[in-house]
Amino acid sequence: MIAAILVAALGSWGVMLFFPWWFMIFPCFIAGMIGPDRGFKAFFSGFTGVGLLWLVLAAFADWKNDYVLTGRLSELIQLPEAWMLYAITCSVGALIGAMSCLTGYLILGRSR
Amino acid sequence: MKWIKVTVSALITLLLVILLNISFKPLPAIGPFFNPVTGFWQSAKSQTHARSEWHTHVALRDSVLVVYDDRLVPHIFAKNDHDLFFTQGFLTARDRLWQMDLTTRAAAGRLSEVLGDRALEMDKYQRRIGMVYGAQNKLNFHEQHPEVMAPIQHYTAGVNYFIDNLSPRNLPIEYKLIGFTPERWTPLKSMLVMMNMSATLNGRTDAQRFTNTLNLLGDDFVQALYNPYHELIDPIIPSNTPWPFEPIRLIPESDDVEYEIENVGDGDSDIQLEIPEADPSIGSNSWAVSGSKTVTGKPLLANDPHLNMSLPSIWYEIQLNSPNMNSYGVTIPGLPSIVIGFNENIAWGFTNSGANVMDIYEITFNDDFSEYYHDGTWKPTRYSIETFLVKGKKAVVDTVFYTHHGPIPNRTGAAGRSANYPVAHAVKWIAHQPSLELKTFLKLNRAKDYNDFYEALKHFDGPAQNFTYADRHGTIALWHNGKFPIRYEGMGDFILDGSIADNDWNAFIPHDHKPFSKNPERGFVSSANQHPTDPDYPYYLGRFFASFERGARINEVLDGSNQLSYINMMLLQLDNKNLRARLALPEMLKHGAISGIPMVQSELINKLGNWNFSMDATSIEATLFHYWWSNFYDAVWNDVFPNDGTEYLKPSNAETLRLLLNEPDSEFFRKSSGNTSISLPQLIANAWNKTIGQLKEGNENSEEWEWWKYNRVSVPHLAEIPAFSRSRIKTGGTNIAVNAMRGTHGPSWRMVVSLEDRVRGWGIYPGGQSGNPGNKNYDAFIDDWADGAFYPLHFYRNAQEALEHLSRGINTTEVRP
Repeated sequence: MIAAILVAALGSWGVMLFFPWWFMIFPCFIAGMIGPDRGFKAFFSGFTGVGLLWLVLAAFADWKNDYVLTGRLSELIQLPEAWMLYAITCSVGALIGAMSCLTGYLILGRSR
Repeated sequence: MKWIKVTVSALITLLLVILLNISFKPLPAIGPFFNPVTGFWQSAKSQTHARSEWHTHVALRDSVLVVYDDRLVPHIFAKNDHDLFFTQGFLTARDRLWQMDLTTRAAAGRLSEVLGDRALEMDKYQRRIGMVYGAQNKLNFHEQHPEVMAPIQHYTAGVNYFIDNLSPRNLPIEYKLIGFTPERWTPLKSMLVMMNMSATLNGRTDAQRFTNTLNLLGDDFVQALYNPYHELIDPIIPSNTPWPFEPIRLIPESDDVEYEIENVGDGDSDIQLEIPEADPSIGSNSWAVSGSKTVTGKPLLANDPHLNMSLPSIWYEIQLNSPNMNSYGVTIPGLPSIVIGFNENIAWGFTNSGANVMDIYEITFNDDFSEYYHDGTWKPTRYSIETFLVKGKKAVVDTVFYTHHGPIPNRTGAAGRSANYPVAHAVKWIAHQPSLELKTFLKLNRAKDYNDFYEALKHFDGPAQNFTYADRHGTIALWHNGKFPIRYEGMGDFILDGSIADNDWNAFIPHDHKPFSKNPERGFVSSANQHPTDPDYPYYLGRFFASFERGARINEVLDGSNQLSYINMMLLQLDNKNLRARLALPEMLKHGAISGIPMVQSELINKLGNWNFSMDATSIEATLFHYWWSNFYDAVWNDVFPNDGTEYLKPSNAETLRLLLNEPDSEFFRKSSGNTSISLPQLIANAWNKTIGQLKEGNENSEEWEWWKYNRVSVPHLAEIPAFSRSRIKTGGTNIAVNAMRGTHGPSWRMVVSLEDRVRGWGIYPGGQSGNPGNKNYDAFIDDWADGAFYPLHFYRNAQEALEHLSRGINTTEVRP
């Protein structure tokens, strides 16, 4: 499962640097195919892999930026708190990661 | 079973992807915008920035050193002019790309391409008023002048080098929010930047409203109350300055020139809407003081152009150094060189001219608009087919017709802003002419003395400006400069008959006949957009110049001292004194007291009696006077002009003030309704009571009526995104004070230069160097600016000096005069 998490995280990162963001579903498919032996594990791998990656990347950018842009943006989209930007960001990544990982797992059908 | 699961799971994934790719306007699509690899997080750049960097791109001919001071002002040290302008373009794009892109798309009438059809009418207006037509004319002319074209091309290459190497994930945040990508820069876009300046500063005329006023109230009214040489005005060029030349006359003086007034008339009575009117807030101050009046014995120059304030700011601060030049100041993103600034020898500044450089002509067309009548013959109409690509919609095609005068913005009843022009009228505008303004800027950047300055001005056609000059050799000067058509008295004040050849722009005022003043006896030159001359000047420039208050205040302060320092210049730029109040208030208090009408809140009346006429941020008296005067003004004129949907030009505040001071028995102060009639005292008392009522409606407590809350100074984002804007800025001033602060208009760059052997400068603008709302420097100067602080400008003679300063650590300490 660690392998699946890593493939989902690093694979999606690499792909997104060169392709539209949603191409991340493909490395997640693969992550789902290679690692997990249970559906929920596949879901979990994609969820944590992408979710955590996005959290780290977002937090790093925000920290470098001294939290200026997130402050303005949360005001712009009328979020009461800036951390909600993280919530939206991570749940988007985690959800897509989880679903595509699960799909990959189901295609190969490695379940026992 | 398995395949059902797979299908369901895959479908959910797909659905999520699709859903997250849809933009629910105005919000961007969540997937592309929120993901931290390419979305907005990547626009959250690091707050730390290089303090110096060597540029060594292959496109450069040599290495270029850029030193940044602590305010992020780049100081470029290049070994040739190619590299200098290339790097200027590159750095400006790095800080202000989105601004450059958006403002030039707007000028070109191409906003619909990225914003959709909500921008279509605005786009059509821009094409119909000839923004691209003018830009193209200018570009063609520039292309014949390689010495000016070269810097534009180098600058363009620098901008494009930045764009070409910009990864989509590093795009400025606004691109990600609105959902488009940058377009490569072209020299035409630099011309569009100039067109934007012309539109902001000279792209207006009062001719239509004034024509409506004439038709309503007649010639006597108009002659009496719209005097271009108003007695309160202290003209830019001191009165009684001799004009030692033989003026050019196109029409013999004996000719009756009133026919053009009578020819307009009934045919225009259906004119309903207004043309973008002369905005009294758009103004500027600039002056230069001779060494005989300063503590250093050397000249001082000050300039504060009042423009629409925005974030990112219209100005970008920079130092340009090459073997050929060394200049410092501000420029408009998109233009190579410095627009307002100084070099090692001279300093220069601008204020806008209210001279009439846009005329409206009534045109007689044939039925299908293929021909129009002019000078006794039918001439063919030209037309251009304009295509508008609209995001998410089909392209739209529009035909713009042209006479030899210029384009027809509203041919058959247009919508949007085009409808502000009367149907089937042509617009003649100086900005349409081929011209070479950039040559002026380039020459000013390199100017060493007055003669260079004089030569530089010859290339500047528009937007017409008052150019202020001072050098370290001791010369000061001011030129009212631009390309001015020779007009008969009053020509262009009203809509002109386009079929009469005498109404054409047949010749222009020769350069040496333009109003100027060099080293005048009084020891200073100054301008605040008021009429440049007294009535003795032999050419007619127009009727609607700025009101007298700022100019008169500047002149009285400069007259009042022979020991002026740069601190005095700063204090004068920050001066909130309201000369209208100083003249009007004693009269208003006097008349109000004898009105017989009890004036509510009399303790506030007493307060006003002790007021120093200063429109300070926390002044309650300022608020009281402002609304009292405007209610009085409305009471005087509102019943003279019917509320019939037609736009009229009411007599100015200054004329109203003149009547109050000199003709208190004027018929315009006598009002009657039914069988009661009132005169000036009652009018004034009623205006007071109305003012108190209005203010109380907003807030019962008069202690809360602080002026800044009503003056509403704000600096909005260019796309008016509130979270990227600054509003409710607590600062003083008003549009008729030297500190000309009003709403989104204000001193967009305050600069003071001391022309000592080693030239020193101070400056500040309401914004920040970075155009990135995620950068701390985005609005970094606004608080200091609102406080009236100035930054000492680090003007280095060479790279060694800059590096030395850098090694000691650049810490700018603001000056608070």
